[in-house]
Amino acid sequence: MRVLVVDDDYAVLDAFKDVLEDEGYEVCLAANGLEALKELRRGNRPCVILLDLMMPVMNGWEFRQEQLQDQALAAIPTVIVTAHNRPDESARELGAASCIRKPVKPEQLLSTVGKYCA
Amino acid sequence: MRTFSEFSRPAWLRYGGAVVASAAALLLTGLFWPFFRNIPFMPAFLAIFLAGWFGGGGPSFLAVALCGVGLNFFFYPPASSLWLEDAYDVLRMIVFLVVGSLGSLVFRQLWAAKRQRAQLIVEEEKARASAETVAGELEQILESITDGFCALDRAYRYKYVNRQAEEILGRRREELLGKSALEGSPMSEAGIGAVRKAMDQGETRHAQAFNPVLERWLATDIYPSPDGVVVLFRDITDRKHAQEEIRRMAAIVESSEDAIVSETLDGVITSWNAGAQSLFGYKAEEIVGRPVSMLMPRDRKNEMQKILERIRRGERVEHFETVRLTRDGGSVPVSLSVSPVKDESGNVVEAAKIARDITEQKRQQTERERLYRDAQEAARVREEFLSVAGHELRTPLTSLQFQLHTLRRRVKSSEQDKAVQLLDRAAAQLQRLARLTEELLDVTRITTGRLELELEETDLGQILKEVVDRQKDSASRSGCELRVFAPEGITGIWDRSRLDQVITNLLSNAVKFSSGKPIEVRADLDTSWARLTVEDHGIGISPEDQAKIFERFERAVSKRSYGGLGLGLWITRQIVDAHHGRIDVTSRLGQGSTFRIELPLKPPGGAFA
Repeated sequence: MRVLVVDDDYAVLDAFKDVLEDEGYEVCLAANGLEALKELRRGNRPCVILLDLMMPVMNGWEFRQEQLQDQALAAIPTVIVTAHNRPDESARELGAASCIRKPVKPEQLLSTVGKYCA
Repeated sequence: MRTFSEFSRPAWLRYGGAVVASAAALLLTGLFWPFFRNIPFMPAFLAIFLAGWFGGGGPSFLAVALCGVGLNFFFYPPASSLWLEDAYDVLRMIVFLVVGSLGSLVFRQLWAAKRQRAQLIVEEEKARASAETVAGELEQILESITDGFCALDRAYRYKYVNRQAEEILGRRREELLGKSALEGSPMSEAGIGAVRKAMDQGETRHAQAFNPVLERWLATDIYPSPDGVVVLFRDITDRKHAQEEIRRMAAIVESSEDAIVSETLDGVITSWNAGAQSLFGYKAEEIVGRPVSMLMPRDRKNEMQKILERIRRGERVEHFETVRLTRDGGSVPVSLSVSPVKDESGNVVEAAKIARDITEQKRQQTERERLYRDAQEAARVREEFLSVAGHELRTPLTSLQFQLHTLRRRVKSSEQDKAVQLLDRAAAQLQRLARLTEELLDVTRITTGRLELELEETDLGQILKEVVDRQKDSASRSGCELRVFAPEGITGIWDRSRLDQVITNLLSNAVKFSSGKPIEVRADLDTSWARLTVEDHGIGISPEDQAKIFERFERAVSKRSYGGLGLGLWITRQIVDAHHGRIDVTSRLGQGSTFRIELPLKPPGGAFA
């Protein structure tokens, strides 16, 4: 079961990777939306995408736009993980599966990921 | 006028009379010839006398002639002839003619004298009548003039008082005539002084003075006359008042800082006060009579027509903000108020304009707008900063939490109990740091007025359960038992994460101050309200502290004994307020506290502010 984590903060990427891998998930990392799209188009389809919003090169909103336009990728559940003040609003706006606001506890992240990667 | 009948008799009557009298005398002489034989001229003399009396000199001469010829023809021989035989008869006839003519001359003189006398009488009567007419006309004039008129003799006694004087002085002329004007008179002292001077120096005097007796202003002209003085006076009280009023108004207009200008309905300036001079720079003599359009910027010339049209209709224009040109070519923002000026019959004849310099007002308004923009910009910058700061603080907290989590897992599998314990403590501190960060961000956000709610269908019982689960560890560590009484299905339209925050705050406070005693959490449902109480049996809060614990940075306990920023209950109240709910506390020192929250199930009016 693969999880794609998209975040421009390497400390976050690494920390998520450790926790998720300890729980037995295969974790792919992307530092921005563009890398994430490349990863997805390489054919590695995850069961969930954990998406940060504020990123350089291609931000979360732009990534969602690209993802939803791509038939092959649109259906992949995407969880917004952001330090943004209004994550719920952003999630609704982006048609995301759900949202988590940083700081997030490992247990909360695992239970959310668990919902999509049973 | 008398008439004199004898002079109005026509000549034919007077001379006819003479003929008749002469014929009658001749007839009488003939009829009584035996009687008149010796005095044949007797009837003739009677006829001459009558003709002279009745007709004057001319008719009398005629009677002499007729009688002389008649007597000679009819009675002196030879008969029926004008010839006289007897010399004695000739002599008698000559005597008759001479005496008769003398008598006629006497009548002529008499008539001339009578005629002269009659002429004199007529002339005298004419003169008297015309004098009476003049006097009557004079009196009529004196009675009809609008001035009061009095004539005083040399002893200052009233000789004449006209009707207007009666009215002004408030006395009847009968009361005044013959009395001295100096004593008990309605004349003022100033008036008396002027009359004395006019009388003594024989000069005309004029005076304007307030008469305290009559309480009126009088203008008096005193003229010396041959036998005293005449006094003409008029009541000018109304005029004085009007003048005072005009002076007062003029003083107000002149002292006004606003420009006060009047103009004709064609826009020609007719008056210009000092305020106008200082506002526009023109002196009155430079601009009165010139078109007001010279004060108007090119692009505002048509304003005047619109304003004057309204004024012609009798309307006012108030606080019309515009721009006017000054003498030095600059422009000044003004607020105009224009009113119609009407004549006595209500026709609009002029426009009165008040222009106020609103440069300062405009400057202040611009300043206010600038400050408002600055404030808005500052708020935007702060909001942006908060957003960035929030992001920047939360991101490392997140990775730190995850790293501790991983570390703990790995350490635990190597069975190093002490290390696990230390990591747990580190995780708890990290958790605390995360909460403090959120509180700080919240308080800044609320202070800038931006606590926004994300409303959704929320199950209060479920949040309660989650919070209690999270607090269980710290509660058991404090040795207090958490008892929850909540029926299922308490749902409302609330902000889920904010409600979580409220309950977490109340519960962590209760745990902190419970002194190891049990804590009861109750939730129940009214028709349109959800109620939540958190009751502890700990140290309690004093009445004076109860009043301020919901304020920012306030705490009921010493900061040396208990940590925290003193923001939790303040944020709690802000969240409850934003939901249009209520929060209160009842507490007794040493007995514990009960916090009660009531929330409407739905936002009133469909949305929370």
